[in-house]
Amino acid sequence: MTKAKLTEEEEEQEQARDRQEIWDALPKGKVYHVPTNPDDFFTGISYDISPRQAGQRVRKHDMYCELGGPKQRYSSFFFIEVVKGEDKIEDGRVEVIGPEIKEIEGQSLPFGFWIRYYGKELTEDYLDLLTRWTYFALEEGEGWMLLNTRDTIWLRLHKKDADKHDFEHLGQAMINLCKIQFPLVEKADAKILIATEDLGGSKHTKGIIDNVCVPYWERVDKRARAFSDDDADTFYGCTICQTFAPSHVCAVAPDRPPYCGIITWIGAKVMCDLDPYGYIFEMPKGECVDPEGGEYTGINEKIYEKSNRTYKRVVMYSSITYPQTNCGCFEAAIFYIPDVDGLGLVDRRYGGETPLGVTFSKLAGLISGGQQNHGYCGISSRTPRSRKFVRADGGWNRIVWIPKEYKQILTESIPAEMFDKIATEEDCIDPKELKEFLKRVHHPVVTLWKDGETPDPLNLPPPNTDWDQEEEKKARGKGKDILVIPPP
Amino acid sequence: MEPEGFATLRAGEKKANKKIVKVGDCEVDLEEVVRDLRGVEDIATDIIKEMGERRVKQWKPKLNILAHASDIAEWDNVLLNRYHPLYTSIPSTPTIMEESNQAKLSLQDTCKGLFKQLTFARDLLEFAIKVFGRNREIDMGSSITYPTMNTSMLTGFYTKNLDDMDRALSYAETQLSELLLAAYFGAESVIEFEEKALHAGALTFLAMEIAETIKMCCFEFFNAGNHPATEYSDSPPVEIEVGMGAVDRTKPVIVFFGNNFLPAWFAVEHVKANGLEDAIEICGVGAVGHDIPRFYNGGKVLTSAVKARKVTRAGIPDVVVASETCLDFDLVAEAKRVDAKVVAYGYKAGSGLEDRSDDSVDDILKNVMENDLPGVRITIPEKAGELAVKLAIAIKQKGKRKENYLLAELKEEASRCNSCDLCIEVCPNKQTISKAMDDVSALADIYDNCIFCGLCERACPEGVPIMDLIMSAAATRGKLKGDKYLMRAGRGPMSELEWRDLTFGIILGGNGPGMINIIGCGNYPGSEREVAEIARYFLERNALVTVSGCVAADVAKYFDENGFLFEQYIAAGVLKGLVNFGGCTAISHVPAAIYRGALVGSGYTPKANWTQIADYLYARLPVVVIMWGAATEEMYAVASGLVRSGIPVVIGPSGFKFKRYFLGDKDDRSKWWMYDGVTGEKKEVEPCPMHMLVPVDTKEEAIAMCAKLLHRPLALRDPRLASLEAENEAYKNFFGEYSDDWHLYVRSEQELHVMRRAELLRKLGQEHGWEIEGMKIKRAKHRSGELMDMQEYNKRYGIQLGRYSTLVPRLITRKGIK
Ligand code: SF4
Ligand code: SF4
Ligand code: SF4
Repeated sequence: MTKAKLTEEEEEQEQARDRQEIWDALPKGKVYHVPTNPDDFFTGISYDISPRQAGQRVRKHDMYCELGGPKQRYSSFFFIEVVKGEDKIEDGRVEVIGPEIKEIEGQSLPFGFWIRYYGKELTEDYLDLLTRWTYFALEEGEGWMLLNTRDTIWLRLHKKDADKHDFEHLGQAMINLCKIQFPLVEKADAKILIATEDLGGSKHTKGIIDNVCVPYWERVDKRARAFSDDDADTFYGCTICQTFAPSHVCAVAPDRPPYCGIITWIGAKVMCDLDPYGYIFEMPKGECVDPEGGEYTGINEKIYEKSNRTYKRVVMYSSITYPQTNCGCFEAAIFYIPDVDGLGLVDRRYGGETPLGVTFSKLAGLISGGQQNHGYCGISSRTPRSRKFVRADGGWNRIVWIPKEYKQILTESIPAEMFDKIATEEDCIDPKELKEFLKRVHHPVVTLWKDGETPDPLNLPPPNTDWDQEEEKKARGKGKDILVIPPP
Repeated sequence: MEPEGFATLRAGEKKANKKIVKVGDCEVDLEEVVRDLRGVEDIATDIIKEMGERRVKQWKPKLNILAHASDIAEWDNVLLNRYHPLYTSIPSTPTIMEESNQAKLSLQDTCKGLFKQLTFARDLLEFAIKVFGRNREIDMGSSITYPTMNTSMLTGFYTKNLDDMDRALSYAETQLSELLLAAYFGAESVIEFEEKALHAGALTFLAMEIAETIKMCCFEFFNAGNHPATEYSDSPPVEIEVGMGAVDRTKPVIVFFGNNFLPAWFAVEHVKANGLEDAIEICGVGAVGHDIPRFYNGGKVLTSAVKARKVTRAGIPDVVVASETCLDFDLVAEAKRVDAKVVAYGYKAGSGLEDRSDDSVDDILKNVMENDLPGVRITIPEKAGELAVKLAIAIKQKGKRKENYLLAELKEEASRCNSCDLCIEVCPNKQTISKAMDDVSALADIYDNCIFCGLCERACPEGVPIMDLIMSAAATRGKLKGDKYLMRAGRGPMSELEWRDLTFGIILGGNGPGMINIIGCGNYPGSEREVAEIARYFLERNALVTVSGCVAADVAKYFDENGFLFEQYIAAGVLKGLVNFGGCTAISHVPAAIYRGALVGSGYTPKANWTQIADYLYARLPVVVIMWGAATEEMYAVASGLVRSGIPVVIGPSGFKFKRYFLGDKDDRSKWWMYDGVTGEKKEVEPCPMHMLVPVDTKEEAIAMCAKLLHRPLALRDPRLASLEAENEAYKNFFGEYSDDWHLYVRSEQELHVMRRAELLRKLGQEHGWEIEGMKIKRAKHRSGELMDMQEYNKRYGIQLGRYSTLVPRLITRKGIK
C-alpha cells in the first residue's frame, strides 16, 4: 500500500517537474499583468460574460477567426493544472505567445491555453470545477463559440464582436472568473500560445499535448474514477427540488449523481462551502447497512429529517426497493416492467411509447411530485454510467429495454455481452413481444422466470408505503441472483 | 309518495349518506372537498383518486368543480389583498366616480370580453356538433399530456369530446349571466366586483380554449401536439407570407376579415378540390388572418384587425368576406370604393346586404355579377367559401376592377385642405396631417404611424380623402411593395417535454431570465417595430418568447442583416425560442403552457384545483405577459384571467388607458410574506412579483418592468441571479442607473453577476449600509434597519432556497405525516 502510494506521489512529482520545464521553455511572448485586486477583476474587459451568452454558434461565414477544431485536426489544447508551491506562480501574469486576435482575421490556427492555479487548500480534486469556471470566459463569453474540451477544443470568434476581444483580456477573464467564484484559488497565471507556422504550428501544440496534457489527464482521471462512495465520509443532500415536490430530498454521492444532472458530489462539496445558506447540506454517511444497495444509517436519518419526516429509507442503487424520490425534472427514468420482471430505461428525447404503454412524458407525470415510487425512478441521463447503477436490482442484467438513440449514447456503459440482449423500440414495444425477444436472446432476466417461461412479477407496494418484509426479501434476492458486476 | 331526490334536501339524510372515497388507507369525505356535491360526484371522485393518497394526506383537498366566482375566493383574496385594484378615472366622466362604481364598470368590461369569446366558441361548437356529432373525440396529440387545462381548472374535467365541451360551455354561459346580473344590477364592494371580474377573465380563457381546441382537433389547424418534440425547432416552417406586398394582384384576391375562419376553411377546401392553389390568393386580416396559415400554407396574413382598412384602401381585395368581426367600420362602403364585392357570413355580420343563403352558389354568382350588387349575406359557411372563390375568379376574368386604386394626382385632393387641423385633433396618434398635405414624403411618413382608424376623414369638413392620400403617398415610396415579410404559422400548444428542458434553463439553472409572452390585437400607436424589438431584446438574452394574437404579424416584421426574427430563432418552447402560438383564441395556450410548467415540477392535478396551481406558479415561475396595444374588451378580460392565474401582466404602450390595474406596494412590508409550507410560520419575503397588472408607456419601460417582474420569492440561486441581472441591465441601459430597490432581491453575493459583483457590492456598502468584506457580504441591512449576519438575514428575510412555501393556509402541509 505505502509502496504503491509512494510511486504515485513520485510519478506526480516527476510529471510536475517535466511540466515546469516545458512551461519555462515555451517561446517568449508578450507579458501582461492583469488585475489581481477583486474590485478590478474585470476592469478593461469590454465583452459580456453571462449565462445568456451560453451556447452560441458561430457559422463559418460569420467567423472572424478560428482556433483548434477539425480543421486543425484537433491538435489544440485547453489545459488547466493545479500547481504545488506558491513561489512557482506570479499571480496575474498572462503571457501571449504569437499574434494577437486583430492580426489573425480570417485564419484558422492551432492553439494552446495553459492555465495554472495555486491555493494552499487547492487540490486536483477540484479540477472539474476549476475547468468549468475557467471555461465560462468562453462558454458564456459574448462572441465566442466553444465546442468540446481539453484536446478536442474548438473555438470560433464572431465577426461582429471581434473588436471587443484580445488575448490579454481573455486571459484576464479566464483566471479572474475562476478566482471570483472560487476563493480557494489564491494565485493564477496563464500562457496563451497561438501556434502559427513560425511557432511550430500544430507540431508544437501536439508535442505539449502528448508530453504535458495527456499524462496529467490520465493520472487525474484515474484517480477520479477510483474515487467511490467508500472513499467519502459524507454525502451531500440537496433540496432544491422541494420547491416543486415537498418532501423530496436528493442524496448525492460520488457514484450517484442526482437526476437533474446539474450537481456532482465534488460540486456539491464546494457549493456547500461557498454558499452556506444555499440548498446543499452535508449528509454524514453513518453506518453502511447494505453495501450492495447503498443504504446508510446517516443518510436515512437525514432523509427523514429533510423530507419533513416523510421517508425513512433510501436504497441508493435500487429503483425497485426504496428508490430515491424525484420531482418532475429528470432527464431519464427507470421503470419496472412487470410482464417480464425486468427494468426499462427511457430518456426525454424519446417521444414514443414504452413497454408500459405510456410515453416518457406520461411516465414522468406519474412518478414526479416527490413520492417514493417503488419500481420507478427519475435519473440523470448519465446515471447509467455509474458502476453501481441499479446494482440492488441486478445491475445491467436486469435492464431489458432502452430506446435506440439512448442505447447508442450509453454504448460504453453497457457491458458488451448485454448490448444485443437489450431491446429497443425497433425490436419491440409490446410487452408480449418483448417477452419473446428476451427468450430469444437468452436475456439474464429469463432465469428469474418460472421454468424460464413464466415471469413471476414482484408485488410492488403502492407509492410511499413500506415493503412487506417477505416481498422485499424476494425482490432483493432476485437482484442478487442475476447480478454480475461488470469488470471495472 | 315523495318525488325522488326530495330526500336529499333534508339535512339529516344528507349526513347519513356520507360520500367517502378511499385512496390508499385514507378516507376522503367528498362533502368536505366540494361545496355542493350534487351532480358532480363522479368528477370529484375521479379527481381525488387521481390526486392519490400522498397528496390527500399532505393537504386538505378543495375542489372548485364548475366553479362560481366565490369558489376561488381563497386565492382571489390573496391577490386582491396584496394588489389592491387601482382605477384611473376616465377623462370624459365629469365627476370622480366612487371606487365601487369603477369596479362595477371594470366587471362590465370584462363581461363584454367574455361575452364575445363565448359567442364565438358557441357558434363554432354548434357547427362542429352538426358536422361531427356530439361524440366526436377530442385528442390534443401524443405530445400533450395535460390537454384542456383552461377548462379543467374551472370545471374539473378535460373536454374529451364535443359533448364535454358543450357541458363546459353551458357552464360558462350560466356563469356569464350570473356575472352580468352583478355587473348591471349589483351593489357590491370593490373586492366582490373584482373577484367576479377575475372569474370572468378565467372563463374567457375557457371559451377561447374551446374554440382553439375545435380548430385544432376538428378542423386540422396546425397542432404541435401531433408532432414529436424532435421537430419543434423548425416547425411549422418560416414560410407564411405577411404584409400587403406579398399579394400577387394579377390573381383573383380574396381577403377574409373577422374572427370566424369557417368561410375561409371552406374556400380553401374548394380551392384544393379544384386545384386552384396557384391561381388564387387567399388572405386574411386579424384573427382569421392568423387562422388560415394554420390549415393552408398558401394563406397570407395582411395586417392586424384594427388596421383592416389599410387593405381596402390599398385596393387589394376582389372579394372581401366578413364574419362577425372586430371591425368597426362600414366594410360595404369601403369595398365599394374599390369595386370589391362583399360576402358577409353569419347571422351577426349585419351589413345591410341581402340574405341569399337559400339560393345556389351559381345563381348568386350570376346575380351579383349581372346586377353589379355590392354583395350578399350568407349564413352557411360552405356556401360562403365557395361563393367567395367563384366570385373572385369571375371579377378577375371580367376585368371588373381597375388595376390600381391609388390616387394619381395627390396635389389636387390635398389642395382642398383649409388647415383647420380638426384631423390632428382627433387623430389618436396625433399625426400632423394638414402640415403634410403638400409633401409626399411627409405623408408617407405618416403611413408608418397611422392605424387607418378613419377618424380624421370623418372629422374633415372639406371631405379630403386623407387615408387615400396617406396610402397613395406611401405607395409612391415603395412602402406597399416593401410590406412583405415571413413568419411561422401558429403552432398551438406547448408540450410538457419543452418545459422539461425549460425547467433546467429557468427554474433550476439561470441560463435565461424566463418566459416572456407577448399578446395583443396589434392596435397601438407608434411603430410596429417596437413590439418586435421587445421580443428581440429578450430573445437575445436567452429568454423564451412567445407571441399570440395579432401582434405575431408585427413581430414578423422585424428584419435585419440576419433575416426575419422568425428565421433567426428556433420555434421550440425552450430558451432562445420564438414560439408563435397562433391568432386570438391561441392566447389560451399561454396560461396552459405555464400550467404545464407547474405540473412538470409538481404533479398536482390541474382539475378544479385553481388555488393550488396558481399559488404554485405565482411564487415560482419567472413568466410575464406583455400586452401590447390593449384597449379592447377582449384584452381586458384576458388580462383579468391571466392575473387570476398568478401571471403578471405589463400593458403598454400608453398603458394608462387601461382603466384598472393591480399594483403592489413594495414599501408596505405587511403585504409581503409567505407561509413556510411545513411549519406554517409566516415569513417576510421579497416584494415580488411587484405588480400583477401594470401600465407602461414606452418600449423601454416595458422591458425594464418585465425584467423586474421576473423575480419570484421561491426562485433558486441561479434564477435569482438571472432575474436580478435582467433588471439591473435593463435599468442601467435605459435609464442610466439601477432601480432603487434592486438590493431587496439580494440574499447572497452569489446572486450578483460576476462582472458587476464588485460594483454592486460597493453600492450595497455605500448606498444601502451593508457591510462588505472583500468580495463577500459580511452583514446585511434588514428592511427593519437592523444590520445582521447572513445567517440571521437569510432566516429573517425570504424563504430558504428550496423550502416548500405557500400563500394559502390550507396548503401548509398537514403536520405529523406518517
Ligand atoms: S435533482 Fe438536483 S437540484 Fe433537485 S434536489 Fe436533486 S440535486 Fe438538487
Ligand atoms: S386614420 Fe391615421 S392619420 Fe387618420 S386619425 Fe387615424 S391614425 Fe390618425
Ligand atoms: S380636417 Fe381636413 S381640412 Fe382640416 S386640416 Fe385636416 S385635412 Fe385639412
